[in-house]
Amino acid sequence: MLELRSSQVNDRSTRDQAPAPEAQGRTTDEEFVRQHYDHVFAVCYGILVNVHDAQDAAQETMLRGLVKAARRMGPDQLGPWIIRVARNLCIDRLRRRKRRGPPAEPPPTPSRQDLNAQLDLEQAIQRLPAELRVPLLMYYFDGRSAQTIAENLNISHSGVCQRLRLARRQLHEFLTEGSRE
Amino acid sequence: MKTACHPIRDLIADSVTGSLAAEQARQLDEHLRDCAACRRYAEALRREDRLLTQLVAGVISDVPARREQLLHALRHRPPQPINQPIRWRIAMKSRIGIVGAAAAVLLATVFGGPSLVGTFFGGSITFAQVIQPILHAQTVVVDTIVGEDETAPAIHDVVKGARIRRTMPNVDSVAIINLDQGRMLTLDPGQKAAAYVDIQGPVVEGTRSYLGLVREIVTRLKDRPDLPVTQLGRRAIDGRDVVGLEVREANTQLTIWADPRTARPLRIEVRQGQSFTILKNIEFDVPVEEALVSMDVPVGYTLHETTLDMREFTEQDFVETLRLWAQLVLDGKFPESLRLEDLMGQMRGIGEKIDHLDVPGEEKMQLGLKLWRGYTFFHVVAHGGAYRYAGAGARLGEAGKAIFWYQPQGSATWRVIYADLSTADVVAEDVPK
Repeated sequence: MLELRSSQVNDRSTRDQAPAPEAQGRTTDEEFVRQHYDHVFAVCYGILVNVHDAQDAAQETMLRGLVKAARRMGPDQLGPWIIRVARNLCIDRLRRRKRRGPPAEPPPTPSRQDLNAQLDLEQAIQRLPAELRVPLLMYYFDGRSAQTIAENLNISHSGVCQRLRLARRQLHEFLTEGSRE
Repeated sequence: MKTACHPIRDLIADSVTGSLAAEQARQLDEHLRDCAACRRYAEALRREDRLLTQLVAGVISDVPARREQLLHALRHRPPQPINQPIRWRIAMKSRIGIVGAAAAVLLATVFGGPSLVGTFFGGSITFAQVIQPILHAQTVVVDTIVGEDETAPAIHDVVKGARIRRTMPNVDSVAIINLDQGRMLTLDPGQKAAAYVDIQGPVVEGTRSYLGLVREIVTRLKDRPDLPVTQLGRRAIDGRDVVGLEVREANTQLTIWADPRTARPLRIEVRQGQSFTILKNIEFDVPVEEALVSMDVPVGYTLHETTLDMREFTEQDFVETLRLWAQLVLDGKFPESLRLEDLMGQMRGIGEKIDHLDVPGEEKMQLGLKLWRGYTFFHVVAHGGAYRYAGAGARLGEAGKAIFWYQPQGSATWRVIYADLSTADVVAEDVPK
């Protein structure tokens, strides 16, 4: 469940009674969230490969975006910027996670059963380097459009295609390790 | 797998992505007809493609709900301001609070504006050499001057990894900033006072050494060898022989002056919008004593603590800043200019004025922070678009005298602030001349 940590919740009710144009500001916030949340979530999931962590990171990214973005940047800058914030934030979390040791959650069930295919897949995805993993997952998030990924990650279209190619080949190797081709 | 299959496997991967050209598709079909191993490979990749689709579809199906949860939480936050407050733990008295910390906030925001987008940098060998120390140095000592006045007092930074020891000009205080922890230790050597400041949140995100900014720019530019660097030739600066490189972009200009023998940068100039910054006397990888950047309170210092709130920077904050500035510091007159370098010059005076007010220490600190909070709003505006300050000579309370006007981003109309601190929305034709 989502909860805003108490330190993030403003308590200005006793200080600011001015009839601020909050309705208007709020619409902008909503627009901002609606416009960017899904991409940001995709990037967070791409890096963290865990929906709960991704949700947490996406939320934090959005809050940061609301703080600064709206009044500073034009729409062309905002998109790439918020993606950058998300990426840095997630990479930071990964680093901290590594320092703390691997997460305890995913129980490794090394089964080759069909039912476990998804689990194997997730584990294999986690082993991909982030620069391959993120575009690969975004490809599926973004309705299989390499162009959208290129725009969001600010890399060339051919760069995206190349990463997808490497990602698929690498992923297949991870999935077939131990078995013979 | 046959050697001939190697390039085919790439085509297979591309075909799953859907990025195969017609000619390649034909080539692939031809190969698959005769090669069972590649057929199996193609089948496997397609199966993995289906699994990936399913996996992500499962995740995606929850995304709208997650988005709505966030929206719901946002809607039920108290209105205004929209961001999280920054908790300041800081000394109760003295200039540490009023000036030292506020200065750190300000410095943090100078470069917090939109970063360079779509910029360029050439691939000359000299440039490649010049950026090496910028990117890789473990320690850096650098003097920073805000503005173009070479003789203005410099901010002195000693950078070691993520820690910065920052000495402000005109202020007898030292700030030790730990960017990893989002924490700052301020020291007042005169009063032997120390305080910790939490700079979690937006401030720490914008906080970095000035060199950090240059690093960021250079990192982005080095992958763009398609656009040229201007060679500025040789020159003598600060008694040293240097060569210059320059890159320009819409509203940004980066100039690096380096030692021609070692290719080490000695001086860097950054222009962003209307702000100009000089980094000079740069030294890379000099030994830095651990104690200089230690977050521990030095022996003999007393630790003071209280909590301050630092929130969103709004126009209202800026109006309040103008009021305080005129009322407290300038005997009812508005400042001659709003330039950062001028404000830096007055910092000590402002601190002293506030120190001498007959109000409790806590209130003094709030005043100091208010001043800077509003000023930060001005910075954002100054970076973001059209504005004009015409407060020189105006007196607080004069009706109908416009002292500041700006066009908020994306707005068709302008906002005008008058000397009596009333405000108005004005269409472009009615903006004061």
